[in-house]
Amino acid sequence: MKRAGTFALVMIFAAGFASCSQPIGVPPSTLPITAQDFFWQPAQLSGGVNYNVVRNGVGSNHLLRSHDGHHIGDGALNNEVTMVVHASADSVLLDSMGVNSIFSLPSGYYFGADSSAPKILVRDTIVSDTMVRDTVVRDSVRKDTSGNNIIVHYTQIIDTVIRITTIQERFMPDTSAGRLLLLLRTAMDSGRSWHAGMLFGPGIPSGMPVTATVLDHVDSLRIPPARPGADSTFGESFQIRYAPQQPVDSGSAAFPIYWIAYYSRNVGPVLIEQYTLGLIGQYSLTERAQIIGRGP
Amino acid sequence: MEDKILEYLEGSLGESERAELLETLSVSPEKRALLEEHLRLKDLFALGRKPFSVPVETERELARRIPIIGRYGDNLAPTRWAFSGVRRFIGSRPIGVAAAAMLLLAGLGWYTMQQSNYVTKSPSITIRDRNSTNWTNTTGAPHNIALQYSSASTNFPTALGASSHVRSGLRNVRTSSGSNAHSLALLPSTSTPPIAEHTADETSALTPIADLRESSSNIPIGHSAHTLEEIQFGEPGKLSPLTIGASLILDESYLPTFSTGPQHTLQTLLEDVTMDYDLTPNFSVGIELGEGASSSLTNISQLTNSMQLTNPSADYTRVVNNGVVSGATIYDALLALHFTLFPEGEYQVRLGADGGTAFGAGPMAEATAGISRVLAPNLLLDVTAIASRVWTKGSSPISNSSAEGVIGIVGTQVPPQSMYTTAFGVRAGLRIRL
Repeated sequence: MKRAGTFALVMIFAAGFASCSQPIGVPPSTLPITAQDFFWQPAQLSGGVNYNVVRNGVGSNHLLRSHDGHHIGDGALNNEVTMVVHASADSVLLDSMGVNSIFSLPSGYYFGADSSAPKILVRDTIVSDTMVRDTVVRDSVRKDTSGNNIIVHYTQIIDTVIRITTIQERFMPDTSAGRLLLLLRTAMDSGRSWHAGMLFGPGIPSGMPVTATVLDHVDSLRIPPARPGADSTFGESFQIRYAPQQPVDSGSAAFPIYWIAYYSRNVGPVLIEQYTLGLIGQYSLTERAQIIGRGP
Repeated sequence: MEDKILEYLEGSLGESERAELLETLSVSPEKRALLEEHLRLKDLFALGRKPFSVPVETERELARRIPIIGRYGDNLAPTRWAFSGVRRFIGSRPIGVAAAAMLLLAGLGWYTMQQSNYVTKSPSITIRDRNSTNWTNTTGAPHNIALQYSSASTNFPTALGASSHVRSGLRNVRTSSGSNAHSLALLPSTSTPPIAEHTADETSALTPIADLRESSSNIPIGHSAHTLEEIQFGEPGKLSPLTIGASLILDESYLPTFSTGPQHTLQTLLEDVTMDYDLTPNFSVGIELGEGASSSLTNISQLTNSMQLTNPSADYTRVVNNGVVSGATIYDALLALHFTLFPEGEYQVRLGADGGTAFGAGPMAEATAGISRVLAPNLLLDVTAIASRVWTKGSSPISNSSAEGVIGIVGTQVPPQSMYTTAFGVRAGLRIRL
């Protein structure tokens, strides 16, 4: 009996020992993505977000603020509204982009409408809960004092919640000038692209479509800090390129400018770079706007 | 068949007959039962010959009730050592004590009967020398005298340790087999005439008398085999305690697994050598040197530059971190403890627990359970199931010093952590008793 007990103990020990392979934890996978997560949050804008902008070799700080989350003023431009933002879970649209702010266009160029250009598709996810009250009558059978069966009616009201999730697709008529679709949730994946807007200006009177392409989607992003102490490490981020591109069969030369923007979750754009085609036929970094930190 | 078994147990069977008998026994349960019956009888017989030790108080009480015992006086003490082991053995067994007491009482009764026989069978002791002038009166103080009988001798026993000058010229004393103890007090009283007409040196032909208890303690208490294997291979405790062995292990190791990845296993054929020392037939310690499987965790970074429109040297570095778990065969040294069930059997159950180090990895522990087949007195075949675990330390994070500019990182490095690799295997090998 004692030996059997010993043997059982050994077997129990072996069974506990035999928990097979060790699970190794890895950092959690990315959370579901919404476009708004990667752009400025209204709370951030009310406090201000500070950027360092280097343009033509000269650096300056631009403190962006907004009281309504849409109209964004630039402290370096006397707090004038330099852009209007429409952000939702599905898309982030930049409207009325001015000049010399963190998003900038060369002099004489603008985002405009063109009926021949593809329309901008915007999807909105709508969740609606509807409370429905149903009146239910229930019957039960009882016996009266004489022993006969009688039917008794009970009325009951039952509440039912009906949730309806709809995706509304809107084709922006693109009749208003200056719109650029910065983020589109359904296309936010590496290699995906979408039509972001139409660029007009000298040499392209009929406009040139601007295509946004997701170059990279990373778990974390590190940028060389604009100055000591500046924010430089961020979480999940997208690297998106905005490039005016002529159709292949158009025979026109490529537009000499493109932009690359880095968006980080819960922060917004952390770095915006403008590349310009040089005389030797290569693009080089000519302007950059980099986040420094939260406003004072 | 029974005669052959008896001859076998007496050791008088020839080699060929012995082998033939063992072969017969191995295939016949009925004849083996007969053998076991004889073995039990042999045990009982050996038990009956075993001397026992009883507490002094018991002996004193017995001496009070049976005065003849008290006359041994101090002679009781020297014999106690011979029984101490037996007393310890039965000390914790009330039934054993009772049996010992009964045996002692039976022995005493038998002794008393023998004493009576002596008196009645040896009247010449007191009759023929009745008129000796050298007779010394021994009445009163008891004298420690032991008499020894020999079945082959007709010598009259002489007295040892007594002051009396007992002389004896008698040659026709009745003999008796076995041993017993006597005293001069057994002789008749003072009225008994002296028995000796000769001096002590004239009785040199007589056999010296030894203490019968001491003589009793000298009876070998041999081990009786209980199984056919014990007969064939010998008593487990009497075999050489040192064994060395070599084994092959068919091993399957379960490597640590990422929560997002599939299970990876490693199948290997490993070797090891063992050396064990039996502390008891059941318990042994030893060392094991062999191979095992361990795993390691590393982060591997792949750096690529993102291709920009026409400028491949854009200021962006993409880093892809991959956590990689890799398995490897390592060498280990373990201290082993083994407990063997049924060590006297042909098939022994062997349980073990080992602990030690896996070189290049970390601590290692092992649990084993298996069957050992006794092939020959010095050769065993082991088939053992093994469960083992090797612990390893996690590797340090790697640096991305070669990355430049904006760095996009895919796959965060898995933090360093202690890991273990569990393995299950079947080991088969041979052990040789040196």
